[in-house]
Amino acid sequence: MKPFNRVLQCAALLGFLLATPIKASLADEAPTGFDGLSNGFILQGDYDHDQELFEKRHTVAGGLGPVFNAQSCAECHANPVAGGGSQVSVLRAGTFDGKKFIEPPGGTVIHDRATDASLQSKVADAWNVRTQRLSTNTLGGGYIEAIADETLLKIAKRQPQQSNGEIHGQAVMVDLIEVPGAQRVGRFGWKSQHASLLSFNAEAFRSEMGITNSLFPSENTANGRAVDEFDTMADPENNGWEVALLTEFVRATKAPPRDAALAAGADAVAGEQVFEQTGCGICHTSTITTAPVDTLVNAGTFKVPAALGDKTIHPYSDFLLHDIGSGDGIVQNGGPSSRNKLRTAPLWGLRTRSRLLHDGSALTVQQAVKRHQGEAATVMEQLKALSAVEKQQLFKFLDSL
Amino acid sequence: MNKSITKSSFICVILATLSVTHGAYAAAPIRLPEVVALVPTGGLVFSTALSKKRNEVYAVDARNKMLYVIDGKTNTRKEKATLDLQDAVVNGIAYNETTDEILLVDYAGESSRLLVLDRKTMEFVGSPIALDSLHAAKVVIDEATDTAYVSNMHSGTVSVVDLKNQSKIADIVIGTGAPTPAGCNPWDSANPCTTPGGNPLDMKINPKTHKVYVASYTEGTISVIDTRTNKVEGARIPVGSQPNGMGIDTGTNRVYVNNWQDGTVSVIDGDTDTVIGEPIVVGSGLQDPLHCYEAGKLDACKSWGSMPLGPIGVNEDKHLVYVASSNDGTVITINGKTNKVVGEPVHITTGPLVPGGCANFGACTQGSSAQNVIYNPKTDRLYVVSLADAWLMVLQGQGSKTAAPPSTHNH
Repeated sequence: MKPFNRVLQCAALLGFLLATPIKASLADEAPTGFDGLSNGFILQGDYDHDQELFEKRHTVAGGLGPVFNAQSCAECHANPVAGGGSQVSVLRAGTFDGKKFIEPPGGTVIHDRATDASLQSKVADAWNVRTQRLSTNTLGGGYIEAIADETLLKIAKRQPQQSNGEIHGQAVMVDLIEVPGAQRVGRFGWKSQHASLLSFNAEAFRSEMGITNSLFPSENTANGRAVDEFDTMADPENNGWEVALLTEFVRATKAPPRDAALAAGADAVAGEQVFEQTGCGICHTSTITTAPVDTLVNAGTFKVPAALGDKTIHPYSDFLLHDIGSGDGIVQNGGPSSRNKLRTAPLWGLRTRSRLLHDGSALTVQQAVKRHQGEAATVMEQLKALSAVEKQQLFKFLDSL
Repeated sequence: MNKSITKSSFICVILATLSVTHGAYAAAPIRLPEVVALVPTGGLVFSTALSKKRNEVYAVDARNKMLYVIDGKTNTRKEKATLDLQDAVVNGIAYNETTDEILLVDYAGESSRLLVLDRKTMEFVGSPIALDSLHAAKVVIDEATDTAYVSNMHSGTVSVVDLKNQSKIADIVIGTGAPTPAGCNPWDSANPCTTPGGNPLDMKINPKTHKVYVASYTEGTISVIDTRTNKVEGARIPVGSQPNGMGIDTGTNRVYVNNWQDGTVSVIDGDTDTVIGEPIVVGSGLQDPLHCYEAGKLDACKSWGSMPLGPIGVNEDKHLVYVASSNDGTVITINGKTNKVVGEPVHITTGPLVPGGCANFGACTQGSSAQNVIYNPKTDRLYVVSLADAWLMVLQGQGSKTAAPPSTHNH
């Protein structure tokens, strides 16, 4: 075994031990399922009602547009059940002048749809940074929100030790939109640009559907051009009640389940060992325990309830930003150095995705794995050194997620 | 003659006879309410309560901060009983038939309070009961347990108050709870909220089933509290937009809910706590285009519809339901047996609001809003507020006019 391999194995073991919180054995496993059932945060009837809002098709009379990407939450977050991800992507663009990233007029989101042809947003030829971002899965979002900042910071701190300094996840402190002046470790979105589900959903409500709300009261623009002429509603178009219920819905979703039959197979069980031993699990963290029940998070605005607190989850993500060579060139909250970094894609629910990486450019898991470079270079060397059987076991494991 | 044809004809005759008989029964005319008196209130009355025992109506004048006692016999104010509420800003009011006390919800100051008033002496009993809540709104009483339930709009809760010991014993979270961020005020632009919370507003109690129904104004749902456990029972019941008033027919165990921005009334089956059928369109009905109010502009609607507002009166003996249309200035009668509107609306104000929908914007130039129906089963009297007219209208439930009988031809 090569020395670095030994280091990695040791690091993986250490990582495994560190990643397994002391309370893990005491914490209950979070419920999982693609079954459309509440995780217990709210009653099933309330969940069903909230899901109707999640699937509600918005119209201009209800504040849609004038520029937007979709008419409902479920238009993008629906696979295999409401709240999941999908193949729908959002277009983003900007300019890199060799030194810094420059946002285009109106921001990096280039809206694909408009209520009037004159408002159509487009990518200018001069903008040399262009990317698509797949809609992320939101199932299990309540557990992610309930992870204490300290837990993510600890993961970030130990990664260099686990990898000879090669892997160094960036915890991005982002603004909590609902509490001016307060920040928290980001965890939602491809750039971990939001730390709370309320912030995340409120921005999606405005940015993706064009429905202004109390947290995001200003309309999207069409490549920086004002849309007032076509805006029929006074802002904010929603006083926040709908965003609050959508947030309640996401908090109540169960985590994506594994394919139980596959996961129980010998290959998948062995593949999980390979996954950890090669160092994949340094970033794709397998196990995290959420904050204790009654912990105040989101700057004290949300008390972790029994349904979400003290829960063991298996997101296979550290929710930190890394440069693995597939970055999209966009800078959001993480500063200039985050230009080519992306949040570690949570692998729970991997088997429900037909397109992989942030832009959907990888169409097989194997292809997505091969695209890992940068911080993942040494781990990739380990993967290349695996025997055919080990590789088969690894992908069987990934197929079970 | 073919025997089967004879038999069929006989059955048809029987059925036709039964149909006529049934039709005659069903066609028994429903008498519509009729205005019998007008009581000047002198100010803006948003809340009323009824004492069946004393045959009195209590009306809180928010403008002049006075509590008026109205004699149900003479339809006049009992001036000697009028109480100056001084610094209190009273929203909710209820009368306790058992203890002969009037409960007043005061939301002045930083924390709301529940005031208990001895009707006999018109003096307050004990100290105000601290609710530690923001903008308490309405109150209902479970007389069997001497417990009051107070909705706290800006705290997103219902407070449970032990009236015997004059202390709050619990807070029950309604809908998504408190607005965020903590301490915000949805009505203060200097201290705005990012989410409005559950906004519990009107409540009704069904003492037979031990349930309190709570309307979540912003979330369009009704929550059900079990008074035996003081916990929310079951999932929220989705109704229409901005539910703000309710009525219960305890005989049929039906709950009627005003959906202010929809121009409709939802009906809930109290046995299952689920909505029955489609919402009943009342008065001038729905907004055109639907939900145009969401645009937040007075000119966004071609029609603002009826906008039913405030508590609903229920005649449990005849299963008639009375709804006030704020925009039309009318009282509408619903037949609780069929859940259909019967007869023409009864005008109780100087006219409909002009421009329509102006109540949303405080921009009314004419007319008066009809709201808050209470029904006294002992006297068959309805009491309805005509807000801008500063009147409390008194109607005879079974007036001289009848609704056109329903057709006996079902096909």
